[in-house]
Amino acid sequence: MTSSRLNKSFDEWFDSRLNKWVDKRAPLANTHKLTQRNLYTFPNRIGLGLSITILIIWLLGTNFQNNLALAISYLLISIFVVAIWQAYGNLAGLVIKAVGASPGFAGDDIRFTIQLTTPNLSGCENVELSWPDGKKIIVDLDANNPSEIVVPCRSHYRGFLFPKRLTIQSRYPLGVIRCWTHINLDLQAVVFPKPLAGDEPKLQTGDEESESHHKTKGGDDPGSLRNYQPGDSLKHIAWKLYARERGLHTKENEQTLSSEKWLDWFSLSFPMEHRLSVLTYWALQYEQAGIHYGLNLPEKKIAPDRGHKHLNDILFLLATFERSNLEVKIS
Amino acid sequence: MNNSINELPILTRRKIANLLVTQALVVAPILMHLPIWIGALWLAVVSWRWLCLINFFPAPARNLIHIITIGCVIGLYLNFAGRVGMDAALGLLTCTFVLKILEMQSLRDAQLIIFIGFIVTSTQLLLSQTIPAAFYALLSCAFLVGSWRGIYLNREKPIIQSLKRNASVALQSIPIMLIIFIILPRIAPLWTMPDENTPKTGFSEDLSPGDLSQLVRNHEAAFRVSFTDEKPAASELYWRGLVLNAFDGRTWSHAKETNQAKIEKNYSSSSKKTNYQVILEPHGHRWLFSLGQVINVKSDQISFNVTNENLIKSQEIIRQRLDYQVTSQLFDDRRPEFSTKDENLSEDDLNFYTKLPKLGNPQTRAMVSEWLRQGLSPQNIITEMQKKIASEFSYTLQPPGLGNNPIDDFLFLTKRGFCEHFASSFAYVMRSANIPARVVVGYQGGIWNEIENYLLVSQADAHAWVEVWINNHWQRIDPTAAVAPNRIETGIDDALTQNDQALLSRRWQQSPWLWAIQKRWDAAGYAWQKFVLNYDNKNRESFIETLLGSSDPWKLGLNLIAIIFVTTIFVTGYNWLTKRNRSLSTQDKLVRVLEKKLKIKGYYRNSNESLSRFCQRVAIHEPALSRQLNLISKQAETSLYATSTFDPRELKRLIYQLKVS
Repeated sequence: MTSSRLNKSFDEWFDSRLNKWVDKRAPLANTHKLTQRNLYTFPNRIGLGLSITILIIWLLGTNFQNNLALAISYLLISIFVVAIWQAYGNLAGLVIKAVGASPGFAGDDIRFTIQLTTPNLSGCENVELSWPDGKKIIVDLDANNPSEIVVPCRSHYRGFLFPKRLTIQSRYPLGVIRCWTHINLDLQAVVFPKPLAGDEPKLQTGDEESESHHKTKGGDDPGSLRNYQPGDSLKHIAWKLYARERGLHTKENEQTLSSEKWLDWFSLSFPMEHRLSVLTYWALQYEQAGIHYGLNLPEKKIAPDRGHKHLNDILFLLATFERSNLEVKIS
Repeated sequence: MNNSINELPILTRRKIANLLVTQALVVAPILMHLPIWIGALWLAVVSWRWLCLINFFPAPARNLIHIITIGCVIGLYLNFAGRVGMDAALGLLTCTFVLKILEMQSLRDAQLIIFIGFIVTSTQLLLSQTIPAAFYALLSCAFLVGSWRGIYLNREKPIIQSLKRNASVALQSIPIMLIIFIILPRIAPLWTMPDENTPKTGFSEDLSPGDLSQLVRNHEAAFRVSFTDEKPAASELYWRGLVLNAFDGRTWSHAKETNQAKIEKNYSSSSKKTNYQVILEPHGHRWLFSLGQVINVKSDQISFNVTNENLIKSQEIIRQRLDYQVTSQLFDDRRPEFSTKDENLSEDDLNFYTKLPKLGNPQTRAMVSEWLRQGLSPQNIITEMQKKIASEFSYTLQPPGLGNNPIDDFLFLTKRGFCEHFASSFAYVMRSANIPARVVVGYQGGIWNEIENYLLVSQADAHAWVEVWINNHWQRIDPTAAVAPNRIETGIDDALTQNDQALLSRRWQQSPWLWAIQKRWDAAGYAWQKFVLNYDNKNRESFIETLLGSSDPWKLGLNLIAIIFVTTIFVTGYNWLTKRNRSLSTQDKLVRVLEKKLKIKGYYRNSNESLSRFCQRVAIHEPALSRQLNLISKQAETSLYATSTFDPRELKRLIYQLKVS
């Protein structure tokens, strides 16, 4: 128990030292090219297995005075050496470019997109990509054929997510050598608060006049449906009907069903994060229902409206509420 | 970060199929050396795994695998009767190798199979070290590396491409292997390995009529000899192996070491000496072969002693190919062959060397008494006997059977025999005449291989002759030489009748080119043995010395660094040269050609200048080219926006047609 704990703490210490060193050599940038400066090769556990195999065969050759068995052990040694070269050659020259990220909710996997291009004529095999906190993605690349890869990173908190070091590694060709690097890609994603169901925020301020009805055409006939036409917003599809296998219908006059709603910070009494989560929840609900909604935060206010951009603006404000970029970056 | 193996690519069908084929190749030569049930086990496992692969059969349960494993261990125990030897270890290794493939599920299992595969391949080489065996092992390694690489390859590639990449691993690693092989010092065995049972080949420890005539039908090599100086004449090449000094009426055997005094080492400088190196095939006995009188023997591999009978005898049974150097004094007419210090046999020895069974062979005894009564001297008796053989006897591989008095039957009835008949009866006659005599078994002659300059002595050259004590020395007398002089001068084939030669069935000797191939093949095997299998620290030193002029460690290191340095520069330069151009697209390459052409005219493209801009600029100064340049820039532009569908041929045509001079 103790030894394993010691081991673990040693590993952590070693990792932190290593990461610091790597960070120095791989500064934050939009594009990285893998060269001998930032690619590292090191034998792994399978490499140790190979060493043991070599030793066994060498002992056989030595004890039986058999030059050919010795030759096999020497062949394995040279294969080991060649594996280092080839493992390096597999990743060398790889260009990694930050493309972008799509926002997500805290706790979700945030999708970061990067572009990989290899100049290697024979392509690039078995490349494993991962963020420190995310699933491993394995890709194979063809020569000079840029491919965009989505590498997910788990988010925990709202705000800006800087995924930190991207680990790129490959065990190709023989598994005995791990060729790897950490690079700092200039990527960030907005993480919206995790939606949590809660009391509906009520209007507290006296902005009665803004609660006027924004009626639009067809508003008199709640629940009237028409057949879905390509181009209709997916948000207005009557999913319940679709689920009953009645076909796709568009709710034409949904928006008139509701009056304007306010996502009012002051109307809720939860702790801050919880409050933001509930507001997020209702923003999504209103958008889904086609209700016009506005946001009222202590220092920011967005007038009621609806639509994708509006939702994004509101979620962005909720995500960055009282949270500056720097704070997150440092953590 | 989750580093678990599950995240890795799984073991696909293709990978398993690769491993099955590779395993079959690796294990096949081993199975021939093992009990048959291990072969059956392998076949069952492969079929089972194959049926799993095509989803015909469920994967075996873990418990079942355990039961099979225990069964195998019990089977091995029963088979080898609890003996812990090389064979049992090989059996265990093979069973592990075979069973592992049954329970293989993860990439790690596959990796383990590859590693065991390499160990099994090296045991192939413990069983046989011939050139074909070495190539087979190399092939096994190639397949192992291929499957190994396949484990870490996610996508299927065209066969040609994967072969190419496998070959690149081989081409890069084999030179490194050779360098290591040449420069790494060899170390003495760290511990002695358990004894194996080397099959006994060649002649046995005693000699009965018919033994050698069976043996000579075998064409296997017995040993190969290279001479430092000139090769002695064929009639000198009596390779002494074993002295038989006791006769029981039918069989000659080796009874005891006589207490004859040690051979004195006062060799006259005038006598003919010869130095030679023998590479002996393992024969499962202790005797080594030598010519004439042994003066000096050297061998790094074994310890040995020279007996009173002037034979080299190893302390251990010869299980490995053995290489030893001998200096011998050849038979010289003017000098006795084997002189002893007190140039007389003791009374005991005299009795011992003339001892015969009291009864039997009355006709022979009568003949000898008659000679003795006539007062013939020992020398006369020898001559008389040789005359008798030369006139009345014939040499054949198919001697008639002999009755209860074999010597009588042979000398007076059948009169046809092979060398053991002549030697046996000759020695018998000598002993009856009270002349000390003994039978020597060994080989006579050999085939000279002029390609590698060595003498190949094979079982077909097995021979027996007689040594008699006369004039205070042991003198060699070959009765066969009297009846078949060709046997001594040119070899057994010329001495036999057509009928007998067919029995030897050296068919390849009848066709000259087959014979040449055979000779070449044996020469290759000899060179292989001499330069590869026997490569040891001594060879290493001399080889490095011829290569570098000295074998000082610092010089070696310096050279090694130089080699690595030059190779690195070469490889990097090659990569740089090829990558620079090859990584460019076709269009870019064509643009390069265009730029070069215009450079001749004195136009340089600025680094920030687009191609169309550049073309326009040149067109202003070169109105003759303006139409063409216009077309080119248009084509090139199209290419930029239609990469996948663009056909570069038009652009190529335009650029190559551009006349600049």
